[in-house]
Amino acid sequence: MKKPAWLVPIALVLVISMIVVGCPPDGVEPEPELTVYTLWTPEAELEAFNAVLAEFEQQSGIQVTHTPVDTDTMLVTFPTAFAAGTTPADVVLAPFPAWIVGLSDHLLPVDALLNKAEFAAVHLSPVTSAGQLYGIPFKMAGKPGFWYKPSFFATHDLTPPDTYAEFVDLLAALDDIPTLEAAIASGNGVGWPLSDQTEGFIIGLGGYQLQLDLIEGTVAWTDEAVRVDVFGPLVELLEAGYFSVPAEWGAQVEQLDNEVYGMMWMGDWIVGMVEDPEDIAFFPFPQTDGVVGAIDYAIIPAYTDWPDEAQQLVSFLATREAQEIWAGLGGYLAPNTAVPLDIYPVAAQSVAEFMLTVTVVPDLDDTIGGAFQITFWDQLKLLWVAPGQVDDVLEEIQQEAP
Amino acid sequence: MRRLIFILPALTLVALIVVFPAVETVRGGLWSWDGLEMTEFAGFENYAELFGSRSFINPARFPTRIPPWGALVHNLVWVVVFIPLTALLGLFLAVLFREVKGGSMLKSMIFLGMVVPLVVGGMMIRFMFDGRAGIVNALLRTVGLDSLARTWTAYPDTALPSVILGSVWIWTGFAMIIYSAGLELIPKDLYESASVDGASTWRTFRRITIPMVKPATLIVVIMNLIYVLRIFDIVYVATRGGPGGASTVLALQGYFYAFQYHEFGMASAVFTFLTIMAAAISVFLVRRVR
Repeated sequence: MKKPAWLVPIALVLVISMIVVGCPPDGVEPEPELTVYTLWTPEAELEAFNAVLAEFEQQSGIQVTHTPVDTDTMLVTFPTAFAAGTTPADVVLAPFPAWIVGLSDHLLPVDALLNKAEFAAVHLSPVTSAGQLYGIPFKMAGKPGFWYKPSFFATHDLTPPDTYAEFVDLLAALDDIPTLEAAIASGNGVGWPLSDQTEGFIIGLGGYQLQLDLIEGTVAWTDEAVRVDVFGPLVELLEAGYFSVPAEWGAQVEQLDNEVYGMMWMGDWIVGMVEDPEDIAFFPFPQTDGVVGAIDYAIIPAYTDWPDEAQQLVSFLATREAQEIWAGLGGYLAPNTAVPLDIYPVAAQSVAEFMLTVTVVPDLDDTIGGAFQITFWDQLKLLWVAPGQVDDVLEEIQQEAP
Repeated sequence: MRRLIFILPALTLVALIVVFPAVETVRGGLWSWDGLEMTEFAGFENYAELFGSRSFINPARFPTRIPPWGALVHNLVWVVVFIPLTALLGLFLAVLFREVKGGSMLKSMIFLGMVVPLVVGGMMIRFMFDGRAGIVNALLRTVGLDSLARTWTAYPDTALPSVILGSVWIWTGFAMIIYSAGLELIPKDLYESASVDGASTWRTFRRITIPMVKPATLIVVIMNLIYVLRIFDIVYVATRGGPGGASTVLALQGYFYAFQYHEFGMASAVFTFLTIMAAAISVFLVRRVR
């Protein structure tokens, strides 16, 4: 059937009119509703953070929608949205200081939203740019050392080591247990489990200052202090077959639980992942003087429709009151130093107590970020299966280092 | 005029969704960037940096040492290995199932690989080649090749072959369906004449089937070529281009430049180069077949 052409402009006018009519009339302010993006998809983390938000909603009367996303979604979505002058979230919690600083032109400063005396300077400096703070530390993930099952160690008459020599002896003893596939489970996936493990060796064998120097770029990855003192022993252990071939880290935690491996380097969140949280403990890298505390920072995109409300939420998240809620539920360390130790459940308390005895340093690859992080992760995957290529690996890493 | 009015919405959409981003990408590759902003015209600086980088071509390792050989070389390995394998396997299966009872059902089962999202395909490849639970390693152990049984995606010498072979398994269904359609178009009397003349099965296949499915082959080759040049999802999920860049490809490199390194000029250069290369090879192939 032939339709007259003049119908098209009329249809367009009708559609535009419907859109205009659908908009709220002038003078009626919509209720503020904040959207928060986080990376906390595991159920325990999701529920714990929702408990914090519920408290904020009750106190402020502002409604908050929590949207957990995966790492890639977060890393890709925000730079592109910012380029278009928009944001899908009013507040974002992200553990990537370099990414935050790189996007600081599109974020609101948060200096006035926290009591700086309650936070360690080492946790604020990575998100400070041109003298202004762009993120408040909300959650700290401690990466204290090797996690093992005390019951398994007891069965095989093994004890956590105090020295590096004892550590190597322990690996040999684990290697002799025929039911084990490898002494140490190596996590894979995105790449951070291997970098966390390597940072453990850097701090444990080279000292926390070496970690800071590598972040600053004042020491090269090809220097003797790194190549010989840190990667030398690591390569020896890799060549001895004490580490498993890298596999999906979640599955590796399960295999640790199933006693396929003897131990695994992991953050404190492992406690919430194992069958029996009472039967999991850690020992730090022998004689280490430092530990990585990776922070999730709350940031506010400048394009939020609700800047005042978003600032209100971020200000709340910085308080002892907000951080105590999750600390009490477990699986969390509070960067706010006013949070008392006795509020933590037992497993988290031991991590928190250990972290008070050594120097807490930032996560190396999260702090540097960008091409370095991707290269670091990828080259470590190579090192784990081809330790003989250590010199090439370190050269590649150095190419992207600060 | 009336025609123009009706075509205008479609043209507007194409201009907004295809033409504008494409022009911006080409432009982005020619400019320096500061974060998310284009700052100054840089000519071919981004391209010079790209072509000079070891992650693009690694002459120190290719072809004498194991990967990484650079993303461009890896893409070309995909072209050389993946396209012939899928085409031959697809043609073989199409011919086989034409003759077999219940062939349609078998074809549907093989075609299922095509409807699997590529991200899921990447996960499947990881599990297929897993050292402990993978079916490939189970088969190798069954036939006594225990020395080859390991997590293929974790090693630099096997990561690239594992993602290519896994993709062949996923993508063969496409070639098979195209060839099946092509085979249906071959007049039956050609085969009858060949049979009367006493031609063998192989001779009939070589002299009748292969020439008659030439248009289908062209479609398979061009579609697969476009697929392998823009391959991303499977590699991203299965290996993330590793270990040590041993399985990285151009699209993945472009993605890392854009969204991990925030080097949008380099990312634009990669994608512009990729588009030009795919277009040039496709045009060449189409003209050659004509």
